Amino acid sequence: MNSQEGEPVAALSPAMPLAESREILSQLFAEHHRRVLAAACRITGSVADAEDVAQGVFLRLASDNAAPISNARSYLYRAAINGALDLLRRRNAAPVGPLEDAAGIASAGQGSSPEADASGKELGAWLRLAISELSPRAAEMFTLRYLEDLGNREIAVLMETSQAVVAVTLHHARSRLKKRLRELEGGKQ
Amino acid sequence: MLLKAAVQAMKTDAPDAAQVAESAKRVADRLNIDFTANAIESCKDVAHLLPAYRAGNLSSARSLLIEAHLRDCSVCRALLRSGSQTTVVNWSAPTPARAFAW
Repeated sequence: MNSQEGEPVAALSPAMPLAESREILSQLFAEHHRRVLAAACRITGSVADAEDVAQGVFLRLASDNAAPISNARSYLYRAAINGALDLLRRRNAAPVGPLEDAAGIASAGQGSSPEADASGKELGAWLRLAISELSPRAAEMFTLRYLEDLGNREIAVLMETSQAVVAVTLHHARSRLKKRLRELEGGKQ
Repeated sequence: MLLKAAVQAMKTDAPDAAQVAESAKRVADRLNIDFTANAIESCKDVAHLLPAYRAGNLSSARSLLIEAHLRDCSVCRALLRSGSQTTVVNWSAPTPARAFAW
C-alpha cells in the first residue's frame, strides 16, 4: 500500500529461471491469499467465485512480465477487487433470481434467524446488482470505502487521484445505489 | 438505512479462517504451487530471515520478497535498520570478499 513513486520496481521477468518464478509465486500466494480471497468473497458473495478470481489474479501475476513484486500487496488487492467486480458485471448481464446463488454463498452471521438471514442475502444480492451497474471506477471506489473500510486518503493514493475526486465519486455512487436499492425493494427491476 | 443494511449484508459474506484455508489449498492445487513450504507469511518469518538477508545469503527470489515486504512494512524496516532482531547464528558459507588472483 505504501508504493513509493520513482523507486525501481522489481518484477517477474522472462529472464528469471522458472524455478525462481514459481518460488516467488508461491511466496506471494502465501503472503497475500487471505486478503485476495476475503475481498473477492465479500464482493461476489460466493467462495467458489472468489477462488476463480484468486486463481485468475495469481495466474496473471505469473504470466505478466511486468507484474510488480515490490508493490505486490496493492497490485494483488486491486486486481482481486476488479476481478470480482468484473465477475459481478458478467453475472448480472444475464439476469438471475437474487437467491439463485444462495448455495454457494458464505454463511451469514451466526445466531440470526432464517428470515433475517434470507432478507440479508437478498439485500446483499440487490447491492451486488446495483454495484455492477456503476462505472468500474465508481464501483471500485465504493468497494474500497465501504466493504474494505479504507479511508478517502488511502483510496486516493491507491487509485492515483485526489481526495476531492474520491469524495465526489462516492457521493454520486451512494445516491445512485440508494435509488437503485429503493427500486429493487419496490420490485421495479 | 437500506444502503447501510445492504453493505452490512455483503460484509457478512467474508469467509472464516477455515474456509479461507480450504479455498487456499484448492487454488494452490489449481495453480500447481506449494505455498506452505518455507512460506514468508508474517513479520516473524521476515525477522527470522533478516540476518541471512543482510549477509547476502538468500536466493534472489527470497531477497526480492523480503525487499517487497520491507517496502510495505515500517516495523520490519525499522528492525532491519536497528539490527535488533533476534540474534541468529549464520552458519552459511561466507562469500569471498574478492576473487582469487592467481
